[in-house]
Amino acid sequence: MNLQEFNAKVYPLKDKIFRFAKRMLEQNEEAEDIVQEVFIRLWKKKEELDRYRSVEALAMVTTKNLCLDKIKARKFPVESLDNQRQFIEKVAEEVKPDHSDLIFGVREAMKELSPSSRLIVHLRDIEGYEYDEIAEILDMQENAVRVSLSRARKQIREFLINTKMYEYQRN
Amino acid sequence: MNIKEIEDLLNKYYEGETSLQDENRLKDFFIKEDVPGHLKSHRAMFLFFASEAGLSLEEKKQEESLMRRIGQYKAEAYRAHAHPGKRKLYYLSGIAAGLFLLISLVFVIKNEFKHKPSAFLKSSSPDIAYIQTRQALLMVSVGLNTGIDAARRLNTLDKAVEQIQLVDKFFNYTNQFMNPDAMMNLSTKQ
Repeated sequence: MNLQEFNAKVYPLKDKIFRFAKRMLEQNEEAEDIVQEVFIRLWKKKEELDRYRSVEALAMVTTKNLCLDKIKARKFPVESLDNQRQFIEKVAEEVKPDHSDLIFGVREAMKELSPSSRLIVHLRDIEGYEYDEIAEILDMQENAVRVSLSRARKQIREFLINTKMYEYQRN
Repeated sequence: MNIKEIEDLLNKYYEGETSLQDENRLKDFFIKEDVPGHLKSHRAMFLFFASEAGLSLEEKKQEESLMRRIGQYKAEAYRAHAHPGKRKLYYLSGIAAGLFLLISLVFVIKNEFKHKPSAFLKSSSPDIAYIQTRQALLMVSVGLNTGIDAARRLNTLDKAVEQIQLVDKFFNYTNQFMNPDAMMNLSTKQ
């Protein structure tokens, strides 16, 4: 794969990679770093890329693994500052006019999910992957993906009902 | 779109039985403003998904630093490739320089001996050599004599200093006689 092909096929994945990394790391800057790291890994493999059935799945798997490494390396939480920044980010997002208060509840609900079902919801409902692709990326059985997706969707719904996050919308 | 249809799709959605197309229809439906009251509570989820899917990197900043890093990587790879040849050349040039220095040194030293042989080696006849040697030795002896003369003069200086010291001692003694206190002090000190 040469640079042109790389630019055409791999580079457009940047936002997907970024969102996936952000979902896992819950942090902007680290997610940005991950995007670059993923591209560099893929670029180093550029000779072999044509052999993969789906470069996109490879990119997502690479992203997942790099994020897991990053999370593992984090063990000693230096997070107070990050949390601060996240909070500021969140407030900034909330200020956006369009439905941000509605969305806020769902974001909180997503946080309540287990890490793996959070990723499944992300890959399916946000990125629109097929079940077999999700299974490949997360290294799971297709059926298990289906089951946890259904459970996670109901869980989000329940969270929203219990916290009455959507309530005012009725009026 | 039929409300009944949407309700069915929603049920299937929560069971994980919808296809991607079905889910896109749901998203389309819920993103629009005119959602009937009893379905509004599902709206937040689809709005969230839609807004999250729109999230993107800060293009320019990202692109710049990515290009920079790829550039770095390329440079590294290039260096790694270029290294072996360059290294060899580097060592070879070092060795060549060393050899050149050694050879030129040998030449210089040889030339020195060729062009400036000493006076003794130059004279061919033993008679001349003898005379020259005598002259040289004579010069040495004359030089030595003048040196000894100078040393003698040093000797007389030594004697003079001794006499001056005697005078010094004399003054010391007379002082003691003329100043008994000082003498007392001296004796107690002793």
